[in-house]
Amino acid sequence: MTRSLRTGVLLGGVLAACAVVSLCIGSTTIPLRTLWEAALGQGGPLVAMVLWEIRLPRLLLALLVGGSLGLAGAAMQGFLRNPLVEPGLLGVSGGAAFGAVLAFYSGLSGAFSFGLPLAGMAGAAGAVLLVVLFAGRGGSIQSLILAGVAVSAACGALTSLVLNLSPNPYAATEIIFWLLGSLADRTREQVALAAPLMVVGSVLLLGCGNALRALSLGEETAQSLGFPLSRVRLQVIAGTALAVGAAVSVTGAIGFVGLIVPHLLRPFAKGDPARLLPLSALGGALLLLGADVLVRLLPTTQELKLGVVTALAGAPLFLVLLIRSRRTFF
Amino acid sequence: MLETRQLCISLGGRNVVHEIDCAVAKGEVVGLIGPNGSGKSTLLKALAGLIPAASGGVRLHGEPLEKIAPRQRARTLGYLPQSAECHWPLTVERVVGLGRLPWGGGADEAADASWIERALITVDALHLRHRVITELSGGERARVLLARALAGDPALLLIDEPGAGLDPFHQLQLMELLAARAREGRAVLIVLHDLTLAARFCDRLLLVKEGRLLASGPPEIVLTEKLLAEAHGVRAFRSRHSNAPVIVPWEQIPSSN
Repeated sequence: MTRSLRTGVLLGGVLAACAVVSLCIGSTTIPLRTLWEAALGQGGPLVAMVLWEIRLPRLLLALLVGGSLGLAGAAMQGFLRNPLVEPGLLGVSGGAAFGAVLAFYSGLSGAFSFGLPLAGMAGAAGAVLLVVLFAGRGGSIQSLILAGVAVSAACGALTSLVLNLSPNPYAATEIIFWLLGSLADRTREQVALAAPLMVVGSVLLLGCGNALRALSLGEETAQSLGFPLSRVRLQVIAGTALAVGAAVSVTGAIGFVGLIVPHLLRPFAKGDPARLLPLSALGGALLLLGADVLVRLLPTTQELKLGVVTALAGAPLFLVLLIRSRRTFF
Repeated sequence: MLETRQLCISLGGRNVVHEIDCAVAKGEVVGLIGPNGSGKSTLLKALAGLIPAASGGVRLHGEPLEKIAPRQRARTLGYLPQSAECHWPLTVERVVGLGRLPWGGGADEAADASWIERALITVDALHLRHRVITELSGGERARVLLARALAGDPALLLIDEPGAGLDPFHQLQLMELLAARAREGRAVLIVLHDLTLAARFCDRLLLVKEGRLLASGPPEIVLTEKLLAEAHGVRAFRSRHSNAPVIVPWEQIPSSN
């Protein structure tokens, strides 16, 4: 068994265990046996309701969002051949956040259940289209990054503007809390809306494996090996926009997962950007699910936001990695 | 096999290659020589289908290059660029395996493994197979990347200045291996600066200056004193050894203006 396969199996195993734990814990702890009976339709209606309406959607959301972030991070790092890239680089996260914040401000989010995620997705799509437009059709990777940075900055500024103009402090607080990122209290419909997009985006990204592999030797070599850069670019951007745009639209911006997971797992894939894709998807799902279990277990008066936890854990971890990799990389 | 008709290429609005007619046939090693900035690498990239022609075109087996599906083209045309970049710390084996991507990339692992091993043996780098490429010396890396290009077994190999980082032993090994490929019925187009190697190992030479084809033909016709002076502005020391020409650039010719 190769190292990357072993790592994948291990991650999958821990992920499954973590998933079971996440179903059991919450505002009340439900024993596994009771859950099982409820799932089979033999338990009380209340437990079944909690399972199907609250815990399972939340679990599914954690897996899909974490997987999307990890996968998109690995794909973007492979595509741009830069280990410091995170999936929001091309304006997807910023655009989705701005769209969602507009939905809050305009009252669209309260008007109907799909208002918030739809506005977020529209924001993500708009931001990515702008980036692609600015970078130009045959534009270099540099111009793509610069356009992404510019659009992200603009989205950040506009988000701040909306916050600035918000009618009262409560509205502003609501927006800020949403922006911190969380999986709590998402409806089954919201999950159902975002899930297909995240799946389609992930499939697109997983399909880039060989092209990313070829890109290890630079753009010209990749092209000479039969991978036209324009097609790879389109696939990576579209996949990231779908997966990350849908994820952020439902959960808010959850940082560091897409940056740190591929970084952490790269040695286990022996540097191979193609093998890193499925590993990062698993790793991202595990990290996010683990963090979500943690916020539910921590005895804080108010549940910590997921984005806060991932960033709190991610930043020091990243520094440790940096110090360790300084010896080999630089 | 591969031919151009009145090929013009412009990069960033500047005409880099002007109306070049050239061809590479099965069974020959063709050398592309000329001073720095004369458009050699640009021409090579156009022949590999990496940059579009401004006018004129490139045909592979009589078909316009841009009409051929990328993967099909990649199976026939191998391209080895000048840069020896590898962005991730991959093992040598993995890097060489990238050359198999046009053939399915991992679809037939046993066949791929045998191609990888053969390519590594050819460039004398089998002992490096488990090493990480980013930790190799420049010359070792160049050999590994050559093996990458060989692993796809292209009918025509386009190589851009592979000799630069190689020691004398491996330079000779490289040229001999390219000549052997040509004898087996494949073809090679190589950009190089070493005139002795060019004269000894190439069946034909293309001499370019300022984007135009100055001369083409067998080495003895191209590497004349007059053409060397015109293209490179140098006078060469000439001799013969074991029935092959030795041409060493000896002195600059002071420019007349």
